[in-house]
Amino acid sequence: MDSISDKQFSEWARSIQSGDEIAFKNMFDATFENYVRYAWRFTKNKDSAMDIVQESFIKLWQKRSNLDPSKSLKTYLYRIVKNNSLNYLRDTRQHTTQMEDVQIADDSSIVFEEDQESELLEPLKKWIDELPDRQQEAFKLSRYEGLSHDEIAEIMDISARTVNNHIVAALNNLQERYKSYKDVSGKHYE
Amino acid sequence: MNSKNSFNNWLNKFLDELDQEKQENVEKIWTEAKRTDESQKVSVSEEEKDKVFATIASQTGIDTDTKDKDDEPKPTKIRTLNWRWIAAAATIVIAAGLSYLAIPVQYSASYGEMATVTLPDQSTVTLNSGSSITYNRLFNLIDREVSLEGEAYFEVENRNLPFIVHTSNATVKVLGTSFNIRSWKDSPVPETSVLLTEGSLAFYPTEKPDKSVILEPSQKSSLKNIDGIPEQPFDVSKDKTLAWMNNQFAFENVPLIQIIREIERRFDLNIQVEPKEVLFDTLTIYYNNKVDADQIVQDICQSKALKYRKINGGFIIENKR
Repeated sequence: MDSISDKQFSEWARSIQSGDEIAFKNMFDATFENYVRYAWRFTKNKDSAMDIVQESFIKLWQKRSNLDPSKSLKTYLYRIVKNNSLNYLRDTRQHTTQMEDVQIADDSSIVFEEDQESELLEPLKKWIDELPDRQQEAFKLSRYEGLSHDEIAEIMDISARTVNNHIVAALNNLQERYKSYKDVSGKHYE
Repeated sequence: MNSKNSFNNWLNKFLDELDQEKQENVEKIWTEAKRTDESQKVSVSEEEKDKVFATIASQTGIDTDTKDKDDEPKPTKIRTLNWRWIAAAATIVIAAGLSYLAIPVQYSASYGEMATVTLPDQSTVTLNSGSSITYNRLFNLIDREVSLEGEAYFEVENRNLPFIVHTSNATVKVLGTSFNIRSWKDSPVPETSVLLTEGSLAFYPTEKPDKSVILEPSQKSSLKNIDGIPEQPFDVSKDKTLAWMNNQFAFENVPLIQIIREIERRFDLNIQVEPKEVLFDTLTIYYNNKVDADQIVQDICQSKALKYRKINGGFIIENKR
């Protein structure tokens, strides 16, 4: 989605606001997969992620007259998808708690496909998942979604400066863990 | 591949402050982190996409006229092109007429300052440092709606149109009355609190107007999150909530992080707190008289067994060693 310019998003916002169905379809085609991946990070399930994004686009269309073209349509939809994902997790929590043990057992049997250079990948993934919630969210939005601090600020409803603090704290955190990991394993990476 | 040029500004700035070993570690982590994103394995086929869009179309009544007949896609394209031209032309005409009205009016108080704004309906708003309000140019003609970020005290003139304040998660609706709203962007979750001084008002989550509570004078309520419901209103001493208007400083059971942000805004300073674990401890702090930042920081440090040092334009708070 990095390839879609802010200008493109604001053109879509203006057209969609005035009821342009084609612009809506174009935006859907260009961004659907990306938002599905974002929702998948919450649900870990493709079908529910697609349902969530489907609902989000429906909401976007129904509320199109409230769109503010001076604000980012990209982050607006991120926020809707995030809220819908959290609602989904909340609503399904009761059902999934019994399942958790089974899933954890499954997870441990997953074998990572590792090539030589990526010995770091598995521990790094674990460290990222163990970051404090807000740090983790800011870090992932920055690194995985490629969003700017200002965009992340809108999605997380905090100031851009706080976003920077979270991400810098996350990097410090990961750096510390990497350092002690290197010290323990005695290995050297370039 | 890991050339610094491809990094964002903020990352370069951060890297510059590190020693060489840390720099290399962070660059490595930043590069590798991208590959830990497992969602990249998820992919959506064109078929799945079409199916989802068909559902969206049937639920919204959209008819893009592109039924995607693979055998003859071209005529469809020509038709939609014409349609788009007409739509675009119409949009331009309407946009030109409305563009002036669409530019909102914004007032803000910078760090270290407060500002009082008189709105077109003669209501007044006093903005705390670092706060802003926005309203559209039809204010007082078709509605009386403003958006607030930060903290402000409103004295609303009684008119037929209701006066409505929006924050990130809540809405306050009144006819004529005086009240204080606090809704800072940097609290951990969207949060708004309202204190009423005169008249009466309705306070509700923007998404759920039916969950509204009615406040009486000297009562306070607050609302956390987007999907929360407002707290049952309770009586408070309004002096503490309104302390900021007299350059006083008062917080009751508020997380340290929010107190620090308020000091930064009120005195236009930058404060770094090194021991992160104390940031969410709550603190009650109240000064009767005008107070300076040194005094507040000193008292916070004393109560938390921390020490501080002055730097250019602010303070660093750290653990006693």
